Amino acid sequence: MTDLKILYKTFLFFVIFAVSGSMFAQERFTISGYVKDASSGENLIGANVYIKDNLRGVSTNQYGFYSLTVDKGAHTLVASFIGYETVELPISLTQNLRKNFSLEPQMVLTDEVVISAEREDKNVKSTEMGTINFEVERIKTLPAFLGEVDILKTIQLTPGVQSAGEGNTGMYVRGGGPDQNLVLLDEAVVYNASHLFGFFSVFNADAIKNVNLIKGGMPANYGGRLASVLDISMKDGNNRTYHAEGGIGLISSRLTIQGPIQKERSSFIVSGRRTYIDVLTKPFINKKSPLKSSGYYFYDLNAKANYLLSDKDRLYISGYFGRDVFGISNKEADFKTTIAWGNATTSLRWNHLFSEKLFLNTSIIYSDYDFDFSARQTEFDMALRSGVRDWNGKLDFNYFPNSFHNLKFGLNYIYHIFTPNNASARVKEVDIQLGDAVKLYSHEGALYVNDEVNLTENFALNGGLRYSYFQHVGPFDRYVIGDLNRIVDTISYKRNESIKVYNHIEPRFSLRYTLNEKSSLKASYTQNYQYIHLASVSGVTLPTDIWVPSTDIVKPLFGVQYALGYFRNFFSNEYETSIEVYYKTMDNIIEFKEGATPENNVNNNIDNNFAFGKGESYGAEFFINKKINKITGWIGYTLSWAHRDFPDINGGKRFPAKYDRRHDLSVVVSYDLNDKFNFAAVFVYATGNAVTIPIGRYFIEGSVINEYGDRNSYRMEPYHRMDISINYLAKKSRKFESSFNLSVYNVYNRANPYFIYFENVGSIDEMSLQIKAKQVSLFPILPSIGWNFKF
Amino acid sequence: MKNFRCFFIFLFIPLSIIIFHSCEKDITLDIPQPEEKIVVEGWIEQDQPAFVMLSKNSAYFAVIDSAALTNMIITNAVIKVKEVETGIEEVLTLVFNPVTFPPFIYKGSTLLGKINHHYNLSIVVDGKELTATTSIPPLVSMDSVWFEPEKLLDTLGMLYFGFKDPPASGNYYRIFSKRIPQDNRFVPAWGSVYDDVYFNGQEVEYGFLRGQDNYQTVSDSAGLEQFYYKLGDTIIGKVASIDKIHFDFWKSIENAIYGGGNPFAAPATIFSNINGGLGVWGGYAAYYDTIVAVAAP
Repeated sequence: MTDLKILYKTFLFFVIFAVSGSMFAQERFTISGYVKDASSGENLIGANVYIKDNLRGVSTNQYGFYSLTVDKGAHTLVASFIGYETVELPISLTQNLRKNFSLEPQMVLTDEVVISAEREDKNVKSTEMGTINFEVERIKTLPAFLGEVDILKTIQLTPGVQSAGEGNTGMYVRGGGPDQNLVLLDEAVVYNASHLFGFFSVFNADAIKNVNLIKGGMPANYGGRLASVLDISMKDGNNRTYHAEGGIGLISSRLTIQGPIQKERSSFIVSGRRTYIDVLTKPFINKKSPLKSSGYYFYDLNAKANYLLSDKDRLYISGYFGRDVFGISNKEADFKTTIAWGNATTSLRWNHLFSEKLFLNTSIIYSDYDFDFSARQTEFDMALRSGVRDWNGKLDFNYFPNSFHNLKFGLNYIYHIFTPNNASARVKEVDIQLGDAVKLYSHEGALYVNDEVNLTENFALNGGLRYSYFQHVGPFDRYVIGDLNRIVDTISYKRNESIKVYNHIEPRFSLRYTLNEKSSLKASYTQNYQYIHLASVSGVTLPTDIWVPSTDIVKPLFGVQYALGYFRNFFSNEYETSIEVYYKTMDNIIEFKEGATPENNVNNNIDNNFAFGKGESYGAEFFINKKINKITGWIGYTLSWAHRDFPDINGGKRFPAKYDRRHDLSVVVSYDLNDKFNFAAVFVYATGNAVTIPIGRYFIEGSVINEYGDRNSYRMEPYHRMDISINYLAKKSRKFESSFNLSVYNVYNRANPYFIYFENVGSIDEMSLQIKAKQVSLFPILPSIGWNFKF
Repeated sequence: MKNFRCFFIFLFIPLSIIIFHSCEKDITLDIPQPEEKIVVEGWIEQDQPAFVMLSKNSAYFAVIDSAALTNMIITNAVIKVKEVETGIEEVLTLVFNPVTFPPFIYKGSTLLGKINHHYNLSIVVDGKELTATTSIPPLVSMDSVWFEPEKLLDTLGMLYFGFKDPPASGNYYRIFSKRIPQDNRFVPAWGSVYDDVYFNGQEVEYGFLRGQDNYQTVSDSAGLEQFYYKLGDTIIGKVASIDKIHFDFWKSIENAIYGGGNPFAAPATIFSNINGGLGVWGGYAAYYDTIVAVAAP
């Protein structure tokens, strides 16, 4: 409770502090409203609204809302957003004013792009650190693996973010595990953001409006993960005219339809994508093949609608549903296996404006991830399920007392239901006892307050405090493990009975000091707690990975991050550059114990199989970004270290994390030749993956047994690859647009290591046995072509 | 049933390789030389003397030919076994044993294993000492042992044991069989170790597939027959109660053998109860029953 008192006092302090700025000032008024895309009516996130004379201003929030309080009198108000024409508006302020801006998209990138304004120095002026915002339209021009535009793969090209492996959408941010990323789609948590071994992400770029990645200096309104927040907003749908867009690609097709339900008041968008590998390969499979009814596909469906109830209220409902389905069946052998997994999310949100200065968003969110496996062989049936389901409620206030403050506060509650592993089996009509279905229930709550404040002309502070609460409740059976690893006791908890409570205060700070118009120094300190954990059996992220909550045994993950950065813009903000260094510690990381067989879930708790340890990571990130003119792109380089210390793993010796990567370089270039042609290229280089390999062997009962070296002590060959693409705009008119994208993945056909395996040559009977190491690569040079249309 | 997850991984890998053309190449790995270690395979059974086989590990990529194999054999060890309860100690004698690798076995003579007794092992090789302790747990008798043909396989079937697991949890079993005259030793079943976590205190019937004798250079069967017993076989079934550490060792060995080669699985950790070495020193409380495989009545 004392934690709550601290939070309450902090909150009061923040509010008084924030309001005090205006108390002694002269008479002031507030201008507020939304910034929109003039052609579609979509609200623009992160657009700038400022006063031309003193450049004092704000950015629009996640719903496109801004509020700016300035002195009475005549001003010139400017609204700008990259890729849009800047709007200037002279105003004479004598009372509070509502003003919505509609910005026209820059239709063509002309030779002389008007560098929209001095305010495009967000890189230098904001308090944000380790934050990157992506324009989806720009991502679409980059080379795409098998023609599938992938947001997550583009994010991996930025410094501090590493890919989990060849063609993989899994990401590791600043030495944190894949479970330490909070992936939000319209505020709903997406637990497994990938399809098919992670080769494709679940986000269909056609349905996405904005992507924001925060990898350091996480503000207090986000929580529950250590490493990063990936906040993805779906498009709202065009509320002026109907549009369809889509594409036909090598492995999938997409279609998006959007338009007004009631003009200017409400709109909808529906977007779908499905792969057809199964359909395409079917004719090539021998009709007599026993496996002819086997196949694989995935699909995604995004839908969203919004309704303007009044000029103060707006309602949004959005949903995502996606699934991977993989089936093998062999009629002759009477064998059938189906594996299906996927996410489903629904978000219902209500924006309400209490006044020009106070904005509230209320959300009710449902989020589900599940993995289903079923197999049938003659008279034997078995099934396995695992997953996680959340019910989530949020209140987020945004208060703009004056132009010096941007205050956010709110609360959040999540009810989690975890199904770590639930197996059932039957022979003929008889059920086989595999233990009761195990589910874990927990409550997670948070209160936060965060203020972004300009302390002096040069000094800005983004400070916040988050109080988080987590409770594991019954029904639950705790199997107590005694000596010899046997269960010595079972404690049964009743429904809703409290098993374990955790609560913590998480302070977050970031500071910006402007050195001059072009450069600034930033520093941040964040503390985060994470109450859910991903238990991974293998070296790659697979849909079989299991989510588990914090329990009496599994303590919450605790992370502390320090970061320092120097930001500088060149050539009138045409080039943005930054250098950031970070140091991070992580406590209570989980891994399966050495030799644990996690499938033994009967009369045992999965968390009895875990080992606990610490992590440490540090590094430096270099970033040069060019967002405007004919040539755009960036260069990102990361030098980093990531270690793990587990008393019970690797004999207690420190070892490199799976994703410890000394060097990571990405170069992205996009060139607009003219109105028709765009060329883009991507080059990546990364230190090889750390793997554990055998160093010796011996005989037991005549079998060869491997003796492994230290964990992750061997480095595979470095990974590098270049992709190119050509985009050709075949036709563009007001009514119809048609374009082609030609991509070539792995242009110089580099055989990058995917895994290493070992083969025995000869045999012991012949008195000659040798082991050969083989390196397997997945993707050679892979060209692909796609056609996209819009009308 | 137990290897659901491994099964998925096995399923996924071939799928990825089918869908995406993959390529592979030979590579040379620069890996450190392992520290030389002594590998112990030792056991003691009730009413039997102790047996110990010793060998050395080798570098992973070293070619194993006859010279290398010879280098892995240890014949100069002094091995003592001591019964903890009585303090009786015996020095084992080296005997040539060409049917196994290593082709030598250290064997006791007068000190025989007893149920519920503990045994300390001490091995001294070139001035280095290895130690271990094991126990022979209480004997669990089988109520019945029988052969049952598989429905679709006609003359082939599994070996079944029916017994009552003792009420206290923490019983571990290792199953062997020896066909007369095909096998010249007791061969562990395919998946030879079990604990009572799934059937503690219950009456159970368990069927086993036949294991292969790694020492037998010429197999008497091929294909599916390798894993089954055949109608007409004379089989000695052996169910041995073992202690927890002994169980962990064999479980980890079998996990490594059956799960071997999966490049995505976490590397197998092999347990050992040998201080200063690798391998195992284990006690068996064995129950034997001889049957002839006949069709079910």
